Amino acid sequence: MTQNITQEQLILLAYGELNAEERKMAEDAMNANPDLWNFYQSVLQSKQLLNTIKEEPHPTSVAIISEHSHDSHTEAV
Amino acid sequence: MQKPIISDGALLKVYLEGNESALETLVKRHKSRIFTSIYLLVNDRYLAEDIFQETFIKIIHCLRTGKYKHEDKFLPWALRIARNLSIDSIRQKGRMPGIVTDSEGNDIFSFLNLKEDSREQIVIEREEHASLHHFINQLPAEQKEVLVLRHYADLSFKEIAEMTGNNINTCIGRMHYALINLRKMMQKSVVYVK
Repeated sequence: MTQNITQEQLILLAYGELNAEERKMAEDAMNANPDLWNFYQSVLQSKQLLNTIKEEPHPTSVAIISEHSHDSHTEAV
Repeated sequence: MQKPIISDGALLKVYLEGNESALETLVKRHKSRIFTSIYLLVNDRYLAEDIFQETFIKIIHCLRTGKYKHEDKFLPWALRIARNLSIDSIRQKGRMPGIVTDSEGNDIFSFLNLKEDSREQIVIEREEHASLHHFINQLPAEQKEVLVLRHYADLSFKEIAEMTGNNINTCIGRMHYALINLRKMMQKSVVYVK
């Protein structure tokens, strides 16, 4: 018998926040319920899409931080 | 042989002992996650640059003045500072996060399978990127915050709950709605095969 698995639990599964026992329960539930399987696939697809956004700070920002760190160290000494 | 990865805690310890390059390693390690999170929260690249700098200046100050508790994990701590500065900044400027002028609604799924690195391709990707930014910024603020902190900052729901002062189930519920709403927005603007 499969336990009641919610869509929220499938989000936890997609983000690696379920333990082994919970994972197994979620997988069994998805095998028995195509709606859950489809929802899980849509979460994975959304994650893949979200992964395409990756921003980097401008090198000047990083340089300013290093400079500040250096100055504050010099002042402290 | 691969060099062992030095933990954040060890880098902080070395930094406090006077090794400046340890901070540079920490910045390099976490800059993308922190900056992407700030940028998506404030929706303004220049403001995000300022907040990113301010976050690390505050981190340096806390470290130099002994305010950092070693039991805190570095990244959640740094992100808490970045989040608070982002919220303060949004409040000061009296602007709501998330209103961008882009009105493109192109096929945002299609690029997942594209491989050509042509000039045209770059233009398409930029437009699609803008669309995704636009969709994220259309989410209600509390949903957007959980999405950004879980997906881009890579914090656990437990850490997000602690940071925002909300119940963990509330955070998971907000993520659920954020993903559903994003999906709806994508479906409205895109024709794609399920």
